[in-house]
Amino acid sequence: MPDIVDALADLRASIEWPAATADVSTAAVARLGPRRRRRWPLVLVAATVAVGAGAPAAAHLLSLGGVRVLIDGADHAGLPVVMDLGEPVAVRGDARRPPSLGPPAAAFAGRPDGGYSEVWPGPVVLTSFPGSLTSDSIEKRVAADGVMFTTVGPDPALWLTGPHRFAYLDPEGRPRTETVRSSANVLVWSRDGVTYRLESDRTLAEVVELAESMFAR
Amino acid sequence: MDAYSALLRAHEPAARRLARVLCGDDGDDAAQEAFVKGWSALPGFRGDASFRSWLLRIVANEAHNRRRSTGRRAARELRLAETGAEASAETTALLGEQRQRLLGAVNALPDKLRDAVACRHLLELSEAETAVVLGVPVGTVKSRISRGLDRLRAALEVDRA
Repeated sequence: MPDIVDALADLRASIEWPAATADVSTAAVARLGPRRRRRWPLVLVAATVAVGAGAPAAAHLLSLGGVRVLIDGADHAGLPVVMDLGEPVAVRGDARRPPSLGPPAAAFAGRPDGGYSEVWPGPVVLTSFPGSLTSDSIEKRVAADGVMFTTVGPDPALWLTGPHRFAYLDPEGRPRTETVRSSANVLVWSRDGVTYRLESDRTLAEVVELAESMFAR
Repeated sequence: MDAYSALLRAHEPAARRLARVLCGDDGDDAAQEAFVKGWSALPGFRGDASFRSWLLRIVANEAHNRRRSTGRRAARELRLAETGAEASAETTALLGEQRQRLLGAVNALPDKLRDAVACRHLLELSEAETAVVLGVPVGTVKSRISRGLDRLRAALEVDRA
Protein backbone atom coordinates (compact mmCIF):
# COMPACT_ATOMS: atom_id res chain seq x y z
CA MET A 1 0.00 0.00 0.00
CA PRO A 2 1.59 3.32 -1.03
CA ASP A 3 1.65 6.27 1.32
CA ILE A 4 -1.82 7.57 1.96
CA VAL A 5 -1.07 10.91 0.26
CA ASP A 6 0.11 9.13 -2.89
CA ALA A 7 -2.93 6.87 -2.75
CA LEU A 8 -5.22 9.91 -2.56
CA ALA A 9 -3.42 11.43 -5.55
CA ASP A 10 -4.10 8.22 -7.46
CA LEU A 11 -7.71 8.20 -6.29
CA ARG A 12 -8.22 11.79 -7.42
CA ALA A 13 -8.11 10.84 -11.09
CA SER A 14 -10.54 7.95 -10.63
CA ILE A 15 -13.42 9.82 -9.01
CA GLU A 16 -16.59 10.54 -10.93
CA TRP A 17 -16.25 14.32 -11.22
CA PRO A 18 -18.73 16.60 -13.03
CA ALA A 19 -18.20 16.78 -16.78
CA ALA A 20 -15.99 19.60 -18.01
CA THR A 21 -18.65 21.88 -19.46
CA ALA A 22 -19.70 25.48 -18.99
CA ASP A 23 -23.29 24.51 -18.26
CA VAL A 24 -23.44 25.83 -14.71
CA SER A 25 -21.91 29.25 -15.41
CA THR A 26 -24.07 29.61 -18.52
CA ALA A 27 -27.20 28.83 -16.51
CA ALA A 28 -26.18 31.20 -13.74
CA VAL A 29 -25.50 34.09 -16.13
CA ALA A 30 -28.84 33.44 -17.84
CA ARG A 31 -30.55 33.74 -14.46
CA LEU A 32 -28.85 37.07 -13.85
CA GLY A 33 -30.53 38.42 -16.98
CA PRO A 34 -29.72 41.52 -19.04
CA ARG A 35 -31.03 43.99 -16.48
CA ARG A 36 -28.90 42.66 -13.63
CA ARG A 37 -25.87 42.08 -15.81
CA ARG A 38 -25.68 45.77 -16.60
CA ARG A 39 -24.47 46.40 -13.06
CA TRP A 40 -21.08 45.14 -14.21
CA PRO A 41 -19.39 48.25 -15.51
CA LEU A 42 -18.52 46.71 -18.85
CA VAL A 43 -21.17 47.78 -21.29
CA LEU A 44 -21.67 47.84 -24.98
CA VAL A 45 -20.70 46.52 -28.31
CA ALA A 46 -21.99 45.03 -31.44
CA ALA A 47 -22.04 42.76 -34.37
CA THR A 48 -18.99 42.59 -36.53
CA VAL A 49 -18.70 44.44 -39.80
CA ALA A 50 -16.74 43.94 -42.95
CA VAL A 51 -13.55 45.97 -43.00
CA GLY A 52 -11.00 47.27 -45.44
CA ALA A 53 -12.30 47.98 -48.92
CA GLY A 54 -15.87 48.14 -47.71
CA ALA A 55 -15.25 50.94 -45.21
CA PRO A 56 -17.21 54.13 -45.85
CA ALA A 57 -15.16 56.73 -47.68
CA ALA A 58 -16.11 59.40 -45.17
CA ALA A 59 -14.75 57.43 -42.26
CA HIS A 60 -11.45 58.41 -40.74
CA LEU A 61 -8.87 55.69 -40.33
CA LEU A 62 -6.15 55.59 -37.68
CA SER A 63 -3.53 52.85 -37.46
CA LEU A 64 -1.44 51.72 -34.56
CA GLY A 65 0.41 48.46 -34.28
CA GLY A 66 -1.96 45.70 -35.25
CA VAL A 67 -5.04 47.85 -34.72
CA ARG A 68 -6.94 50.00 -37.13
CA VAL A 69 -9.51 52.41 -35.76
CA LEU A 70 -12.31 53.52 -38.00
CA ILE A 71 -14.24 56.54 -36.78
CA ASP A 72 -17.66 56.52 -38.34
CA GLY A 73 -19.82 58.28 -35.78
CA ALA A 74 -22.30 55.43 -35.73
CA ASP A 75 -24.58 55.03 -32.74
CA HIS A 76 -23.66 51.75 -31.04
CA ALA A 77 -25.96 52.12 -28.06
CA GLY A 78 -28.28 49.25 -27.33
CA LEU A 79 -26.08 46.68 -28.95
CA PRO A 80 -25.71 43.32 -27.24
CA VAL A 81 -22.97 42.60 -24.78
CA VAL A 82 -20.53 40.10 -26.20
CA MET A 83 -17.14 39.20 -24.90
CA ASP A 84 -15.08 36.23 -25.99
CA LEU A 85 -11.54 36.03 -24.71
CA GLY A 86 -10.93 32.52 -26.01
CA GLU A 87 -10.39 29.43 -23.92
CA PRO A 88 -9.42 29.45 -20.23
CA VAL A 89 -5.74 28.68 -19.74
CA ALA A 90 -3.26 28.66 -16.89
CA VAL A 91 -1.84 32.05 -15.94
CA ARG A 92 1.51 32.54 -17.65
CA GLY A 93 4.22 33.34 -15.17
CA ASP A 94 6.25 35.37 -17.64
CA ALA A 95 3.41 37.55 -18.93
CA ARG A 96 3.76 41.31 -18.50
CA ARG A 97 1.11 42.75 -16.22
CA PRO A 98 0.72 45.81 -13.96
CA PRO A 99 2.28 44.76 -10.63
CA SER A 100 -0.28 46.70 -8.60
CA LEU A 101 -3.12 44.51 -9.86
CA GLY A 102 -1.64 41.38 -8.30
CA PRO A 103 -2.23 37.94 -9.76
CA PRO A 104 -5.05 37.80 -12.32
CA ALA A 105 -8.26 35.98 -11.46
CA ALA A 106 -8.29 34.12 -14.76
CA ALA A 107 -6.44 33.85 -18.05
CA PHE A 108 -7.61 33.09 -21.56
CA ALA A 109 -5.95 32.48 -24.91
CA GLY A 110 -6.97 32.41 -28.53
CA ARG A 111 -8.75 35.73 -29.12
CA PRO A 112 -7.55 37.35 -31.25
CA ASP A 113 -5.33 34.81 -32.96
CA GLY A 114 -2.20 34.44 -30.86
CA GLY A 115 -3.83 36.56 -28.17
CA TYR A 116 -3.53 36.09 -24.41
CA SER A 117 -5.81 37.82 -21.91
CA GLU A 118 -5.82 38.20 -18.16
CA VAL A 119 -8.87 39.32 -16.16
CA TRP A 120 -9.07 40.94 -12.74
CA PRO A 121 -12.26 41.64 -10.81
CA GLY A 122 -12.92 45.33 -11.07
CA PRO A 123 -12.96 44.62 -13.94
CA VAL A 124 -9.71 45.00 -15.81
CA VAL A 125 -8.95 42.99 -18.94
CA LEU A 126 -5.44 43.00 -20.40
CA THR A 127 -4.96 41.40 -23.81
CA SER A 128 -1.71 41.06 -25.71
CA PHE A 129 -1.21 39.69 -29.16
CA PRO A 130 1.65 39.59 -31.65
CA GLY A 131 1.28 42.71 -33.75
CA SER A 132 3.60 41.36 -36.38
CA LEU A 133 1.26 38.45 -36.97
CA THR A 134 -1.92 40.45 -36.98
CA SER A 135 -0.77 43.68 -38.56
CA ASP A 136 -3.75 45.51 -40.01
CA SER A 137 -5.96 42.63 -38.98
CA ILE A 138 -7.95 44.30 -36.23
CA GLU A 139 -10.39 47.09 -36.54
CA LYS A 140 -12.35 49.06 -34.02
CA ARG A 141 -15.25 51.23 -35.04
CA VAL A 142 -15.85 54.02 -32.60
CA ALA A 143 -18.18 56.95 -32.25
CA ALA A 144 -16.75 60.26 -33.48
CA ASP A 145 -15.44 61.58 -30.16
CA GLY A 146 -14.42 58.20 -28.79
CA VAL A 147 -10.74 58.23 -29.63
CA MET A 148 -7.71 60.32 -28.69
CA PHE A 149 -3.95 59.98 -28.98
CA THR A 150 -1.81 59.57 -25.91
CA THR A 151 1.44 57.80 -24.98
CA VAL A 152 2.57 54.85 -22.90
CA GLY A 153 6.15 55.73 -22.03
CA PRO A 154 7.79 56.48 -25.38
CA ASP A 155 5.16 54.66 -27.41
CA PRO A 156 2.12 56.23 -29.06
CA ALA A 157 -1.19 54.94 -27.79
CA LEU A 158 -4.88 55.29 -28.51
CA TRP A 159 -7.52 55.87 -25.85
CA LEU A 160 -10.95 54.64 -26.90
CA THR A 161 -13.99 55.59 -24.84
CA GLY A 162 -17.60 54.68 -25.14
CA PRO A 163 -19.20 51.97 -27.22
CA HIS A 164 -17.24 50.65 -30.12
CA ARG A 165 -17.30 47.61 -32.28
CA PHE A 166 -14.40 45.24 -32.39
CA ALA A 167 -13.67 42.89 -35.25
CA TYR A 168 -10.67 41.29 -36.81
CA LEU A 169 -9.82 39.38 -39.92
CA ASP A 170 -8.40 35.91 -40.25
CA PRO A 171 -5.19 35.38 -42.27
CA GLU A 172 -7.29 35.09 -45.45
CA GLY A 173 -8.87 38.46 -44.81
CA ARG A 174 -12.29 37.19 -43.78
CA PRO A 175 -14.16 38.90 -40.91
CA ARG A 176 -14.19 36.70 -37.78
CA THR A 177 -17.70 37.21 -36.55
CA GLU A 178 -17.39 34.83 -33.63
CA THR A 179 -14.85 37.00 -31.88
CA VAL A 180 -16.81 40.19 -31.55
CA ARG A 181 -16.34 41.50 -28.03
CA SER A 182 -17.37 44.33 -25.80
CA SER A 183 -15.28 47.18 -24.56
CA ALA A 184 -15.53 49.89 -21.96
CA ASN A 185 -12.63 52.35 -21.95
CA VAL A 186 -9.71 50.86 -23.79
CA LEU A 187 -6.05 51.84 -24.08
CA VAL A 188 -4.23 50.35 -27.07
CA TRP A 189 -0.50 50.55 -27.68
CA SER A 190 2.27 48.54 -29.21
CA ARG A 191 5.79 47.73 -28.05
CA ASP A 192 8.45 45.34 -29.31
CA GLY A 193 6.17 43.72 -31.85
CA VAL A 194 3.39 43.10 -29.34
CA THR A 195 0.13 45.02 -29.27
CA TYR A 196 -1.51 45.52 -25.88
CA ARG A 197 -5.13 46.27 -25.11
CA LEU A 198 -6.08 47.32 -21.57
CA GLU A 199 -9.80 47.55 -20.86
CA SER A 200 -11.35 48.86 -17.66
CA ASP A 201 -13.68 51.46 -16.22
CA ARG A 202 -10.75 53.54 -14.93
CA THR A 203 -9.64 56.99 -16.06
CA LEU A 204 -7.07 57.62 -18.77
CA ALA A 205 -4.42 58.72 -16.25
CA GLU A 206 -4.96 55.61 -14.13
CA VAL A 207 -4.82 53.28 -17.11
CA VAL A 208 -1.69 54.90 -18.57
CA GLU A 209 -0.04 54.51 -15.17
CA LEU A 210 -1.01 50.83 -15.11
CA ALA A 211 0.31 50.37 -18.65
CA GLU A 212 3.63 52.06 -17.94
CA SER A 213 4.09 50.03 -14.77
CA MET A 214 4.19 46.88 -16.91
CA PHE A 215 7.54 47.95 -18.32
CA ALA A 216 9.10 49.60 -15.27
CA ARG A 217 12.47 48.21 -14.28
CA MET B 1 -20.16 36.78 -22.43
CA ASP B 2 -19.13 39.53 -20.03
CA ALA B 3 -16.15 39.54 -17.72
CA TYR B 4 -18.00 37.94 -14.80
CA SER B 5 -19.16 35.03 -16.88
CA ALA B 6 -15.61 34.69 -18.22
CA LEU B 7 -14.36 34.35 -14.67
CA LEU B 8 -17.09 31.87 -13.80
CA ARG B 9 -16.23 29.80 -16.82
CA ALA B 10 -12.57 29.72 -15.85
CA HIS B 11 -13.33 28.52 -12.33
CA GLU B 12 -16.38 26.37 -13.05
CA PRO B 13 -14.55 23.02 -12.96
CA ALA B 14 -13.04 23.71 -9.55
CA ALA B 15 -16.32 25.08 -8.21
CA ARG B 16 -18.33 22.07 -9.37
CA ARG B 17 -15.83 19.61 -7.94
CA LEU B 18 -15.90 21.40 -4.61
CA ALA B 19 -19.68 21.40 -4.60
CA ARG B 20 -19.71 17.71 -5.49
CA VAL B 21 -17.43 16.98 -2.53
CA LEU B 22 -19.49 19.02 -0.10
CA CYS B 23 -23.05 18.19 -1.12
CA GLY B 24 -22.88 15.35 -3.63
CA ASP B 25 -25.47 15.15 -6.37
CA ASP B 26 -26.85 18.57 -5.43
CA GLY B 27 -23.45 20.03 -6.26
CA ASP B 28 -24.27 21.57 -9.60
CA ASP B 29 -27.38 23.25 -8.21
CA ALA B 30 -25.31 24.61 -5.32
CA ALA B 31 -22.61 25.88 -7.68
CA GLN B 32 -25.15 27.62 -9.89
CA GLU B 33 -26.82 29.28 -6.90
CA ALA B 34 -23.41 30.36 -5.63
CA PHE B 35 -22.53 31.88 -9.00
CA VAL B 36 -25.73 33.93 -8.90
CA LYS B 37 -25.08 35.04 -5.31
CA GLY B 38 -21.47 35.81 -6.19
CA TRP B 39 -22.68 38.47 -8.59
CA SER B 40 -24.49 40.30 -5.82
CA ALA B 41 -21.50 39.90 -3.51
CA LEU B 42 -18.97 41.08 -6.09
CA PRO B 43 -18.86 44.73 -4.92
CA GLY B 44 -17.63 43.39 -1.57
CA PHE B 45 -14.67 41.59 -3.12
CA ARG B 46 -11.60 43.38 -1.79
CA GLY B 47 -8.83 41.22 -3.10
CA ASP B 48 -7.89 39.88 0.34
CA ALA B 49 -8.00 36.42 -1.18
CA SER B 50 -7.71 35.39 -4.81
CA PHE B 51 -10.88 35.63 -6.84
CA ARG B 52 -10.87 31.82 -7.07
CA SER B 53 -10.72 31.39 -3.30
CA TRP B 54 -13.39 34.04 -2.83
CA LEU B 55 -15.69 32.33 -5.31
CA LEU B 56 -15.04 28.87 -3.88
CA ARG B 57 -15.88 30.16 -0.41
CA ILE B 58 -19.31 31.22 -1.67
CA VAL B 59 -19.73 27.82 -3.31
CA ALA B 60 -18.75 26.09 -0.07
CA ASN B 61 -21.21 28.16 1.96
CA GLU B 62 -24.03 27.34 -0.42
CA ALA B 63 -23.08 23.66 -0.44
CA HIS B 64 -22.93 23.54 3.36
CA ASN B 65 -26.39 25.10 3.58
CA ARG B 66 -27.79 22.45 1.27
CA ARG B 67 -26.01 19.73 3.16
CA ARG B 68 -27.58 20.86 6.42
CA SER B 69 -31.04 21.02 4.87
CA THR B 70 -30.94 17.59 3.23
CA GLY B 71 -28.89 15.79 5.84
CA ARG B 72 -28.61 12.63 3.75
CA ARG B 73 -25.03 11.54 4.05
CA ALA B 74 -25.32 8.82 1.40
CA ALA B 75 -26.34 11.40 -1.20
CA ARG B 76 -22.98 13.13 -0.98
CA GLU B 77 -20.71 10.10 -1.15
CA LEU B 78 -18.10 10.33 -3.86
CA ARG B 79 -18.10 7.55 -6.44
CA LEU B 80 -15.52 6.04 -8.73
CA ALA B 81 -15.82 6.76 -12.44
CA GLU B 82 -16.21 3.93 -14.90
CA THR B 83 -12.76 2.50 -15.59
CA GLY B 84 -11.30 2.52 -19.06
CA ALA B 85 -9.72 -0.44 -20.84
CA GLU B 86 -6.15 0.78 -20.49
CA ALA B 87 -5.01 -2.16 -18.39
CA SER B 88 -5.74 -5.84 -18.09
CA ALA B 89 -9.00 -6.81 -16.49
CA GLU B 90 -7.14 -8.30 -13.53
CA THR B 91 -5.06 -5.15 -12.96
CA THR B 92 -8.10 -2.94 -13.36
CA ALA B 93 -10.05 -5.00 -10.84
CA LEU B 94 -7.20 -4.88 -8.32
CA LEU B 95 -6.70 -1.15 -8.66
CA GLY B 96 -10.42 -0.61 -8.54
CA GLU B 97 -10.70 -2.55 -5.30
CA GLN B 98 -7.91 -0.54 -3.67
CA ARG B 99 -9.43 2.73 -4.77
CA GLN B 100 -12.88 1.69 -3.67
CA ARG B 101 -11.58 0.85 -0.18
CA LEU B 102 -9.83 4.19 0.09
CA LEU B 103 -12.81 6.12 -1.23
CA GLY B 104 -15.06 4.28 1.19
CA ALA B 105 -12.76 5.33 4.03
CA VAL B 106 -12.81 8.95 2.82
CA ASN B 107 -16.60 8.93 2.62
CA ALA B 108 -16.79 7.51 6.14
CA LEU B 109 -14.70 10.29 7.72
CA PRO B 110 -16.49 12.77 9.96
CA ASP B 111 -17.61 15.73 7.83
CA LYS B 112 -15.02 18.22 9.07
CA LEU B 113 -12.11 15.84 8.49
CA ARG B 114 -13.50 14.67 5.17
CA ASP B 115 -13.96 18.23 3.89
CA ALA B 116 -10.40 19.21 4.80
CA VAL B 117 -8.80 16.05 3.38
CA ALA B 118 -10.85 16.26 0.19
CA CYS B 119 -10.10 19.95 -0.39
CA ARG B 120 -6.38 19.42 0.11
CA HIS B 121 -5.79 16.03 -1.48
CA LEU B 122 -8.65 15.47 -3.92
CA LEU B 123 -9.24 19.03 -5.10
CA GLU B 124 -5.56 20.01 -4.73
CA LEU B 125 -6.28 23.27 -2.92
CA SER B 126 -3.42 24.64 -0.85
CA GLU B 127 -3.77 24.65 2.93
CA ALA B 128 -4.26 28.42 2.83
CA GLU B 129 -6.91 28.13 0.15
CA THR B 130 -8.63 25.31 2.01
CA ALA B 131 -8.74 27.57 5.07
CA VAL B 132 -10.41 30.38 3.10
CA VAL B 133 -12.86 28.04 1.43
CA LEU B 134 -13.88 26.27 4.63
CA GLY B 135 -13.79 29.46 6.70
CA VAL B 136 -11.41 28.18 9.39
CA PRO B 137 -7.83 29.09 10.38
CA VAL B 138 -4.93 27.43 8.56
CA GLY B 139 -3.89 25.73 11.80
CA THR B 140 -7.31 24.10 12.05
CA VAL B 141 -7.01 22.93 8.45
CA LYS B 142 -3.62 21.35 9.16
CA SER B 143 -4.95 19.62 12.24
CA ARG B 144 -8.02 18.27 10.47
CA ILE B 145 -5.97 17.02 7.53
CA SER B 146 -3.50 15.32 9.84
CA ARG B 147 -6.24 13.62 11.84
CA GLY B 148 -8.09 12.68 8.67
CA LEU B 149 -5.03 11.06 7.11
CA ASP B 150 -4.35 9.16 10.33
CA ARG B 151 -7.90 7.80 10.28
CA LEU B 152 -7.56 6.78 6.64
CA ARG B 153 -4.33 4.92 7.37
CA ALA B 154 -5.94 3.19 10.32
CA ALA B 155 -9.04 2.28 8.34
CA LEU B 156 -7.01 0.72 5.55
CA GLU B 157 -4.86 -1.17 8.05
CA VAL B 158 -7.98 -2.64 9.62
CA ASP B 159 -9.26 -3.59 6.18
CA ARG B 160 -6.06 -5.44 5.43
CA ALA B 161 -5.85 -7.19 8.79
